[in-house]
Amino acid sequence: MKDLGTAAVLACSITNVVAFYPDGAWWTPCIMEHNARLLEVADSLGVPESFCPVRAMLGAFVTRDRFPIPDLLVCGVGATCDDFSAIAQRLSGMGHPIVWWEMPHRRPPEPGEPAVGLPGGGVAPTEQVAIVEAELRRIGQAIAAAAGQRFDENLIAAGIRRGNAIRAMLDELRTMVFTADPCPMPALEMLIAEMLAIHYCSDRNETDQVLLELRGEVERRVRSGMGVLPPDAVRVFWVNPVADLRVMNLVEDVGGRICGTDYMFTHALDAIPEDCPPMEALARTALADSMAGPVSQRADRICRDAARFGSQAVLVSRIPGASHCATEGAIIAEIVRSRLDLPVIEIEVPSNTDAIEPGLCTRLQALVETARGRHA
Amino acid sequence: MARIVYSCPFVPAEWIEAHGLSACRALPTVRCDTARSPQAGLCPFARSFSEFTAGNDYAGIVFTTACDQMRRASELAAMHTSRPVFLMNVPATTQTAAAKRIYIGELRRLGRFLKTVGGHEPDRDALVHVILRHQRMRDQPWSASGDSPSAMEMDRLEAGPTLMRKAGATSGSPGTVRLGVVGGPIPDGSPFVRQVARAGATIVLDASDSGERTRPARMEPDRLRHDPVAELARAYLAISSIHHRPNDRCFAWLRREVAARDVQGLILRRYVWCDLWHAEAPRLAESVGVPVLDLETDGETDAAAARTVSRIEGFVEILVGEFGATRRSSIALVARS
Ligand code: SF4
Ligand code: SF4
Repeated sequence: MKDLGTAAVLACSITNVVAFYPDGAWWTPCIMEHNARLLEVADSLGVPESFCPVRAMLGAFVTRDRFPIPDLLVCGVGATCDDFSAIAQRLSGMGHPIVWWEMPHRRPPEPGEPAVGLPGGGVAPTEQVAIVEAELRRIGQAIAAAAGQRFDENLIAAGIRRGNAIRAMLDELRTMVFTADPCPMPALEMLIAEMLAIHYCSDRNETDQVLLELRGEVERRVRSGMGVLPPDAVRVFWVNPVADLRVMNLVEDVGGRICGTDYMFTHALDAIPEDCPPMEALARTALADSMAGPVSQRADRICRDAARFGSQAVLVSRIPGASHCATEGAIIAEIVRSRLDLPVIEIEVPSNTDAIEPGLCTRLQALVETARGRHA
Repeated sequence: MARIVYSCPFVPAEWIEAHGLSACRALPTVRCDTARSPQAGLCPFARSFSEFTAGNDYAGIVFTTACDQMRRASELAAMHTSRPVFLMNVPATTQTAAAKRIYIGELRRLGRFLKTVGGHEPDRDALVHVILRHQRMRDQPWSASGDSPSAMEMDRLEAGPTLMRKAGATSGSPGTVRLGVVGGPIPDGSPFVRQVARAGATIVLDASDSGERTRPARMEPDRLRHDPVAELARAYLAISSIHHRPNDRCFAWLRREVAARDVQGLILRRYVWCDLWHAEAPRLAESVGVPVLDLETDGETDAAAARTVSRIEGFVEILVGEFGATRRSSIALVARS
């Protein structure tokens, strides 16, 4: 739970283990059109809407009809949001044993302090990498023990290579989709493709197939100049996932398209280092989590990627109740505006946008028109 | 002497003083007026601390990662003040080798920061001396120390029994309802104790994040002489905190103290948007063995005060019925307060 991408690579490398993030229940209310009633269950447990949509996970553990209760729960804590940490602790209090592992806040190295590069372009002190490496080894051993296996780092190296093949495919797909004109693949399909990188939806082979097909389809469309949106669609960089997935369609309905994303798991998309021992590689990947470090570093990455994909506007989607959303939007907006001089807006997207859809459309339209006006 | 400000109990005042600096634990009043409406999602205490520290003349400001709100507030504060800001990693796990390694490493890093803002390398003997002085201050029975200089210094530096002293009570006035309080920090200027007294009760247990629960463990003299930094870390990592994963130690502490002080009811006084306390309200109610009042606050306003008083009064009334404490004795306390 929580680390989104790293523990899954570890777990999938161990024989007879399937990785699964219950965090994904975040989207269940939207996908099930609120029929699953998970938020209502969370309400009844004293976890109301002042928490982010991940509270649906608490409901899912109670109803037990969304996913099988995992044989082992591991959860990263430390430099994580309060929402998840608090809800995971409630699960523990309700009798679901959790193996916790420490994920320190990624700090900048001090002058002269040994440091290593991270996937995605950041750096971290060697000391922090060593701490996380030891924690992940502890978790790997716990997973192996639960599966009745011996913990073997050679298997982890193989799992990293396998994971990197998926990440490479996704990188090609994202680059093609975000840079081709007209846009060959809609935003919602791309969001789901990105989500595959987190835990391969518990099926690595199927993930391979889905991404291969998607890449083939996009290649065909790009070759033949086919698109799903008009050629002049405004290129929007999207920050944070939306709890109501329909909003990804709204931005396209008002003349935008997604060119660049940070759905809070960019570290699950970047290649895991293969030039260092496997557990160190996973530690570097875990520390590259944009949510584990300063927001300013997250904004740096957003600026780099927005420039790479030629984004014309940046949209920060605020997640209701999320402990990071009260402060991060202002910092990201300030940095993006000053470095790239792009229009930035912040919108809030609840799990159900029915009531606010007209207002949302107006704001999205304003962003698209402002960006178009600047580039006219 | 240059002053270093912090609010988190995991920042050791001893360590700051051993570097030749003055340690100031700030628990600023959380104001919530119409001109500054509460920012959606932002803990009012985290906001108050950032604003207070940025607006005062401190040599350095120390935030910690004990909660995500403060971790992120540190970045916002750093953008809006010219004063040096230090973010200290405080581990969430407690029993792991990683937790000890992180905390000791962070103490050393904090030390390097302190030297950049006017501090000096701590001399080993001086560090032991400062640690023992703090220990002696903590050892003084609070009821006897009253307003003595050392008691007041303790209140300034770290979690002291401030609330109970302010209430003017010793171990709970006879016949009144005995309450405990748990939750976020209670600011120095908070009317909370007066509100409780007005409702006819006495605080006999301050288990808030600014109370006695967050005091470090006793230092062991042998270990202290052998390795003062490691012993300081051991004592501070032994604090029971709601942010710990798992946080069973915090609940065990509460259960023990609630029973030991004969607490009749517990008030969970939590800030709006504080997930760490909010999520635990039902578990508290199930596990501490006494009725729990879940009291959400967004700051000190007249409207909030009226609401708080009436909720505490209602709670006390229920407890009076349950425990047989008489209304007459409650009224007597109101008359005294
Ligand atoms: S959406 Fe934000 S607050 Fe919610 S679980 Fe994810 S990172 Fe945490
Ligand atoms: S009250 Fe809660 S959210 Fe606010 S600073 Fe304290 S622990 Fe963090």
